[in-house]
Amino acid sequence: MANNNSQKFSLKSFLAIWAILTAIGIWISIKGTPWLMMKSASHQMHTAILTVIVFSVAAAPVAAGIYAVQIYALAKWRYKGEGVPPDAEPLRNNVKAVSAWIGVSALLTTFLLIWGLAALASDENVSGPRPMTVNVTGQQWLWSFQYPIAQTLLHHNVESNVLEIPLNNQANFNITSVDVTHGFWVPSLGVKVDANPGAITTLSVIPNKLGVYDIRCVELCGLNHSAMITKAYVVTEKQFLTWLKAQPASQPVATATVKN
Amino acid sequence: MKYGRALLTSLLATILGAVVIAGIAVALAHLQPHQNPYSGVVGTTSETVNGQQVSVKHVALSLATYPDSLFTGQPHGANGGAHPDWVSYNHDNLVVPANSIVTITLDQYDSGGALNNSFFGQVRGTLGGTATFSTWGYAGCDPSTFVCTSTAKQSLADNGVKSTLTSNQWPYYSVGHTFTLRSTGSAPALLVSVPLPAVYGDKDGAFYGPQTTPNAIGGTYPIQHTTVTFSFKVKGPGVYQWNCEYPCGVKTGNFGEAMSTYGYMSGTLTVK
Amino acid sequence: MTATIDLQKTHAAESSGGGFLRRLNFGTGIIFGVIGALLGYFLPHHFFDNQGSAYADQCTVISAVGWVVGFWFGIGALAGPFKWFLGWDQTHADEMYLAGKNQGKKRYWKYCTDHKVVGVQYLVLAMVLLGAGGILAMLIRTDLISPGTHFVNQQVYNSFLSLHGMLMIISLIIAVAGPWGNFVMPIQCGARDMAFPRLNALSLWTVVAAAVPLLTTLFIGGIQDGWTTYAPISIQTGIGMNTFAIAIITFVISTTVAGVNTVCTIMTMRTTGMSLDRLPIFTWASLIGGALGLYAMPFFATAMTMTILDRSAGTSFFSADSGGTGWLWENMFWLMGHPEVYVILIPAVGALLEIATVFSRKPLFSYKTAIGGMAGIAGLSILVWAHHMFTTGWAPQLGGPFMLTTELISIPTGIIFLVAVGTIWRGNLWMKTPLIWLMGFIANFIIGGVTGIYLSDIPVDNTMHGTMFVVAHFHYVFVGSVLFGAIGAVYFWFPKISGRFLDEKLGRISFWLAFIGVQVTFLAMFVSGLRGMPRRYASYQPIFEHTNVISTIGAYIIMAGMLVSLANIILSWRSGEPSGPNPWQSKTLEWLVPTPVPLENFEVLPVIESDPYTYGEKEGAHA
Repeated sequence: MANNNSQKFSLKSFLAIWAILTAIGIWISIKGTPWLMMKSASHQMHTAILTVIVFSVAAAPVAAGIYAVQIYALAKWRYKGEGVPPDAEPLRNNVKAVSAWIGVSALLTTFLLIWGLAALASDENVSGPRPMTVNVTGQQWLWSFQYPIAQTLLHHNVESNVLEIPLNNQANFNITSVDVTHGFWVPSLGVKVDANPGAITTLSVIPNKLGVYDIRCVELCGLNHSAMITKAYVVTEKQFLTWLKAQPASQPVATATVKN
Repeated sequence: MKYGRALLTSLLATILGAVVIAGIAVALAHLQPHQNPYSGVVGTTSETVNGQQVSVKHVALSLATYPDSLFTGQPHGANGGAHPDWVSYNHDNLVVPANSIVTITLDQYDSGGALNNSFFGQVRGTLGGTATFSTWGYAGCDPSTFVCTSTAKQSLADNGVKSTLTSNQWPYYSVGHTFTLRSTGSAPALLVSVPLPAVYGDKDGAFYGPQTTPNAIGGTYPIQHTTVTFSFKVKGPGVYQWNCEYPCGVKTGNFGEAMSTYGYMSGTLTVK
Repeated sequence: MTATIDLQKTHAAESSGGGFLRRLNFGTGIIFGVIGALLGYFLPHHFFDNQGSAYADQCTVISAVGWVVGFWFGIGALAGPFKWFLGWDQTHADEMYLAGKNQGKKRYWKYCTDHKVVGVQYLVLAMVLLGAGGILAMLIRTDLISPGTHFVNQQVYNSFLSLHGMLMIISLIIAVAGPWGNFVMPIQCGARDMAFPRLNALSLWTVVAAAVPLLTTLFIGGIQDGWTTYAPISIQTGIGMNTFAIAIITFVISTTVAGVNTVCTIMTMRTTGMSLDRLPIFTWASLIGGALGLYAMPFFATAMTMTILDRSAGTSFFSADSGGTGWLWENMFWLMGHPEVYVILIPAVGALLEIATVFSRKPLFSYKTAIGGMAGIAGLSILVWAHHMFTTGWAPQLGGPFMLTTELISIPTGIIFLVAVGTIWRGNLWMKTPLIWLMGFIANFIIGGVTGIYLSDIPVDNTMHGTMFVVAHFHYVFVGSVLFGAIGAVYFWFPKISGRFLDEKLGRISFWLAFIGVQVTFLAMFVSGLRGMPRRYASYQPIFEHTNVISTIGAYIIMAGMLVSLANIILSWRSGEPSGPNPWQSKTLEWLVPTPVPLENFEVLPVIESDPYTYGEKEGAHA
């Protein structure tokens, strides 16, 4: 079939479309992300929100580029005649374009990776004042929290179905399950780890905002998975102690294993 | 094909699909395992608000936990239903009015052992923070040491002692089942959890005393069972999930079979 | 070439050959399968103790195995090995009978070795499984229209979401590789059939055999553990888990058989002159996808075997109180689970790139880079599995390395975009429905891919894992990308298998409904996840209501789009506009043979002198 060289490409129009789409993408990234994501109450959550913004801004020109090509192609390169279109100019390869594309994507990937590793390191180096341990038990279908600090301060055990932690103090969680795998998640604190039977997983976080936050199970654990919701209260140190003293004395931690 | 015909075909196909989905949904609604709502006895009582006595709705629910499904009445039907050997509550679909005080009297006919989480040995969310435990075979339990003295006898004729104790907990190593109620998130927050003492048995797990209660379909249950009474207040409308937190099932965590099936050790409380 | 639709009207001479196979078909398969299931259920009464919770599991497992073996027996799958064992040779008449010669429509209900028949059978099977999964999807979305549960309780809901996931995964694995990997690929190679024709039929009927226990799961109590059937809840859940496990093991037998067949066909049966660098891109995609499946799927079967053993035989691979761990399951599952999504994606990409060339009237852009991209995705996919386990608490020190490998995959994925974009670049775009589905794929795959990058970053994954954000991400890839490719492939190759076009107008209506539906459903779902809604929740908190309503409305729009294409297929099969053998003027070999394709594809095997992308080039310009 005859070559048809009438498929022109106007760099200016293409760049205009690309620029507009990129601008929209960046605007959505910066304005939309904080509005859509949960409010942050910790450094980890803040890091997560910031990362989403940065990744979105980085992805915006890439996505915009692909969409711009599609829009341009559908606008300018449609065959408007009847029947089978004539063949177009055979562009088999363009070494410069391929190298540039792979090079840019490698650079972007490297940037995303370095950012991600740095964010991960900063999330894991949690170091705050007066670290307090809370033992979290996931069970079908309720979270329960045990406060060893009560044994130290009040000489009896305290267990509760809500999490109460003091502001700006480091909270260390030891998390386990007595039956199946559950997922311990405090959305506003940006921390999540599974509660596995037979293992103890750990989390550390420093809450930096007072408030009441949800805790939800995120690993399907059977019948009432969607009911494994409780609250986390980030309160002042004084409120925490008042609350702790008001809790009834609980039985010592069960050492019995499951009845056979 | 002309556009008109294409649009008509599309519309018909869509309507057909929606009708199929609706049909299946309606059929499923009818096949729901737990129907038979139970509302107990509704009356009124009074509570003190700001120093004043105020009249408030009251619901009295009679629940029971059995070591099998061979008890009369729903929910399992003739011959104990599909799983006659599964432990079971006698109701699973509880319906109460909003802003009422619910009093549950629960007859517990099953043996037990140790909870795998002492959290559930505590009474939570009830009025006064306590429950009343009526048991045979326990002279009483010391709340500070969590030691219970047993006075189990060989048979009812020996006059086994019944004791009644009002407490905010029951020793975690001697529990039969629990009643644990929580919000699903779409209802106002509420947590109620009450441990239900195990029926005292001998070292081989046999119950003491005569074992029959009048029963039409063959289950035999100890006359010397435990009874727990507690009350709690429900506020706005919503659906709550309740289940037993004592591992009385099988398989992983002993939470399989009866423990993981609606209508046995798990159900809902709907506040209307 | 005149456009004649040559149906098999003449059943010429009395067909000899076949022997007892003449009496076996899908119906006898079912009959013997049911007999096998009943035998399997009642025989254990004599051998096992009727004590303990394992008993019901043992009976169910053996019953499900009985079904599969019975079905194979009844459909005639075991005839080949049986005859070989007895030393009975196949006559030429036997082989012709097996290939479906002179049997008309009946051969579609039988164990038929003609790869073209197998292809059409796969197409119908994929549509049936997609329909079943789709009905479950609509039930799920309808129940989620407001907080609280409605016509199903959480127990039933959990079963629905588990079966929806598995049915869709299976139907997507076979959606492109099944119909077109079988019908089109051997012709594209210039071969008369696949390397192992009997295995070809076996791979199809084994999926049918697997589908029955899978669907049975819903009726014997369901399962409560998602399609990912994590341990230890898979050990705890009801007896439905046994039929599910047997279904999976059976399905993996099918994919293994199919993978062997695909790879051997492509490596050994290409015609003269069809060197690897002249192979159409769809065949390359079939090769890479098939080989990757051979690596990945057996992990699934092994893990399911361990689940069965834990439930029925008292082993403790996954039970913590006997020294096992759920992390073992998770690792084994995702060792399969991640490569498996590329087993799904790569054939769809291959089909779409074929469409790109034909409907731009241009060669594939940077052919070798395209192959490198697909191979790179496949190879890297083997190294990324634990990015599904970032929040499990397993081996936190491996978080960094898995982040690295996962983010690296974006490079070969970008190459796919490059090749697609480069192919349509300055092409003469022929605006027919196959190209429109390609455009939809590109738009959706960007969103699917970018959202995957968020999830690959551990700090962000800590906020998004296990939420509806993940669900929206993989639905953008599975529905918005793979399914669009699969449907585009149907619109592309339908004239080849039927001699008729699918209606253009219905095709466009279907596309726009599906495309708009995907955006509405899953963009709202991203928001549900960002706001904190976990996945697999039968009832949710009121703050998630608005986005769920929008997602439900969107789901109905997608449903409409799918049904319109289904109506299109049904209506066009008999009364669509006749197309002739090569309506798209494509240069790949399947379009150069007549429609309907003769039994042995080619009168004379072709000799290849160039790749099939010589649009716009002079004769011999690109050899």
